[in-house]
Amino acid sequence: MKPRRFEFHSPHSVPDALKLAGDFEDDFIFYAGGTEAIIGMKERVIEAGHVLNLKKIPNMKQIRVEDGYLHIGALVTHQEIADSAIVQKVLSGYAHLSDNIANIRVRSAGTLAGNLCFAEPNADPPALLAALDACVVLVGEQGSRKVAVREFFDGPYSTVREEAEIMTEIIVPVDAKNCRCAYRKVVYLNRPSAGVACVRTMIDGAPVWESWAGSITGMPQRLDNVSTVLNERDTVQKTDIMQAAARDMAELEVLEGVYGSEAYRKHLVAVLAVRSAMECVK
Amino acid sequence: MRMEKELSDISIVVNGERRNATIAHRDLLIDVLRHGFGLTGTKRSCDAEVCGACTVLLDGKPVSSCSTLAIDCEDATVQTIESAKNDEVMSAIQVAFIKHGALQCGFCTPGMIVAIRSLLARYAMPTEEQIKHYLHGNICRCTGYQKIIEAVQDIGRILNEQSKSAM
Repeated sequence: MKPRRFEFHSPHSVPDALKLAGDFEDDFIFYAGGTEAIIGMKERVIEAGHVLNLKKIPNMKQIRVEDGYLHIGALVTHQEIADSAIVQKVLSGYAHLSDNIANIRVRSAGTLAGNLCFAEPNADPPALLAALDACVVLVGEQGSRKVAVREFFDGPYSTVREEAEIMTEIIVPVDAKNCRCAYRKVVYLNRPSAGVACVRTMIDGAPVWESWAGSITGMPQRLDNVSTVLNERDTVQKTDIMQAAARDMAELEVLEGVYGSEAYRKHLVAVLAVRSAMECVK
Repeated sequence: MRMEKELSDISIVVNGERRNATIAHRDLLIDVLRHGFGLTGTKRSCDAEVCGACTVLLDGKPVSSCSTLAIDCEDATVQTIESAKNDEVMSAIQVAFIKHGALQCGFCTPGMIVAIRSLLARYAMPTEEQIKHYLHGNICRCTGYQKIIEAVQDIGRILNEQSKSAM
């Protein structure tokens, strides 16, 4: 199937892209990797008279570490992150996640920024980026702002990004010596039925754990009870974590869909909470 | 005669040959390849980047041509299954497929072979785990995959022996 008719534009700077966005008001979408957008346009759930291609904008394809923060440019693809020697060194758990997103074609074309902006509820990156307390940079006509990934999503296919704001980079605090992180998932077709991210950071000699679930409610979900159990014990006791995850899941409303029943997916979260935590103490 | 006003002339290097076309901005790469250039080896199936039947290499990287805008391929290089006649590696993959019976209905085969071409550019001698990881997004409903894995491992060995004997 083809998308509806649109006009394709390739601005060469962020200000030029924002100017076009202003000119076209609500009748445009930004386009980077295109892996989510094109399918949405073919299915006619996204309709826009103008597609603003961000790929010609320079300086958004970099991966660098500066002052303890990993910066990932908005045009960097999942496979480039997976293959990056920098990411493998400072955040190997995220490199592993990136190397297991969807399939090789999606990883080759799709960008992390596009993935976050599209806010597909069954996606891998949000849970781990939330657990790591990453943030994104959004640039609009009024200037730029940083938004924590933990506050970026407000539901399935919905974020706090204004339509005419461009995500320019993702910033992740990194402390490779003192931080271990992992993400484990169960996949149905290309997408996770559930995924859990775990981070263990040594702060002033004491371990601090964060456990977050993804693909369950449409936004990353902190597993408070799992995180508490891990923080209190600093060991991975399977039964304790499974019980804590069950408490976390008890009141949660799980999205319906083709990815399994509510009970099944809640059980997956408990199992994956154990697996991701175990990976952090290997 | 097209009725769309959003038209552009594009130039793409397809299988080593520069091709020009006037396309609508919404045209997908698969349609330009199949209907514009007559390269019908590339197959459309799921239309959602899941099955891999439409895999082509865009600047050397595997992509789903069903979900790639042709206008975004301006000045890019595209490699399709039709390049097998000029590409020794791809031709060797075909031979390995025949030798191992790595196909039955053949519908997934062009995308599978193109993906394997890319896999072998990344790993000269891929392990079974690397093959499974790289190809898990190329779906085959006939073979059960085992014959495909065996074919890939064979071509890996053949290419490695060829490169050794050429040294």
